Amino acid sequence: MSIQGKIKANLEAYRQHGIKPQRTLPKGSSAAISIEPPVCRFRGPLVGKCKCLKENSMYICGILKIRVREHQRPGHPNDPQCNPDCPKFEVGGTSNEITEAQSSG
Amino acid sequence: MIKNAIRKLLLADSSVTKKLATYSFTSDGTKAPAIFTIPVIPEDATYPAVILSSIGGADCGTRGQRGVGYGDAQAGFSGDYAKKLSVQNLVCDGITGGYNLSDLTGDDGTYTDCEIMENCSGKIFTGCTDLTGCHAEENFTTCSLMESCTMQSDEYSSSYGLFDCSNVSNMTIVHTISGCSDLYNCNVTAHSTTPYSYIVNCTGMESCSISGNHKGFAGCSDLTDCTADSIITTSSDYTGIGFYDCDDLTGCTSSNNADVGFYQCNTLTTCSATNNTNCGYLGCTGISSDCVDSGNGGSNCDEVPEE
Repeated sequence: MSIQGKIKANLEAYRQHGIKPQRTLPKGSSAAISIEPPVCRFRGPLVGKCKCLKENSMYICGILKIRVREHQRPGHPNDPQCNPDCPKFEVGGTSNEITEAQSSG
Repeated sequence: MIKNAIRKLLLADSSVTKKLATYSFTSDGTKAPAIFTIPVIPEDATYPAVILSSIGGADCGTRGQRGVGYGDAQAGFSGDYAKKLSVQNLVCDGITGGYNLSDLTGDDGTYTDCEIMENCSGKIFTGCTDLTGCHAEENFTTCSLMESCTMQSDEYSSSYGLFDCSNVSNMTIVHTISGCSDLYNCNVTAHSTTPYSYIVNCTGMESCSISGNHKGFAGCSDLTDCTADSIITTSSDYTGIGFYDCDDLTGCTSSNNADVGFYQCNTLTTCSATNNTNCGYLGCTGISSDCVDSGNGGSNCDEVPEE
């Protein structure tokens, strides 16, 4: 039976008999796929994680703590390289608190 | 629980009332309670012979009144025909356990464990069943039997989307679909500035698609006639791939993606990979000879076996 047919049958079963369909558990093997926001990119090969600076509500791309000053850059929520969802991901940091970083090599 | 309440009502010798739903309102007076109306019953009504006939609680007055903390909807036995409860201008904070709800509006409303909903809008729907034309500002979670529902498309958030739902038809959103099963004609398009959505860990999908986002299908299985197109690549891992770690694909198409069409997928039949930057198929097993591999770049790619 096609998925469309299965859905119609399940809907009929619910409306006629009150039987709620059970969700089929997905295979869920894709642990490598996370729902974390994507990292942001500097000029060159380095990438960092977006953060939101509380003091000026600016989005920045943060990288190694020791170099954050020189590498932070203001971003804009509409900047596709800096996720506007950052405030929900890491809120209220300051530039000195940026410790997570990674390099794309 | 709702069904049991209705059975008791139908078996009752006389009119009885039973709480079917709880409606919560803001108490700060900034929002008015809902306006409840009961439309004229159609001659050919087929829905359950139960009517939400009165509203308990202190008061559920009209828009502009203040101070209602909550109200209970009571169900009454209504004879041979049913009537539906229609609530206009919903400004409740939330409805739990509602039944036969239609035409509710209000961006801030939440719905939990409601059944048979038509043209209702709110912020979050959780555990609801049989939804038609409903609209969520943020997400649908653990809902089932959803037809032609919608979501807002102006804002992107990773917490917005369709999560752990089942039996979903005809829905197009710019947000992520995760952990869902049995989806037909469900499509993820790209948000205008933040195309970070994808379809992940779903099973049983037919005629579904994703385009223009950073990722495509990931960790999905039992896919028929599904399409991933124009998936772009970014600095994040696993971007630019149409189908990643997916199993049992039939008639699926992956094209114009910035990396690989099908990556580490298993059991592919009548699938097509065209114009992908780095391989049509890579690290896949069970590629059928009727699959198409055309116009793809890359090297050391998997080859489609000859017939």
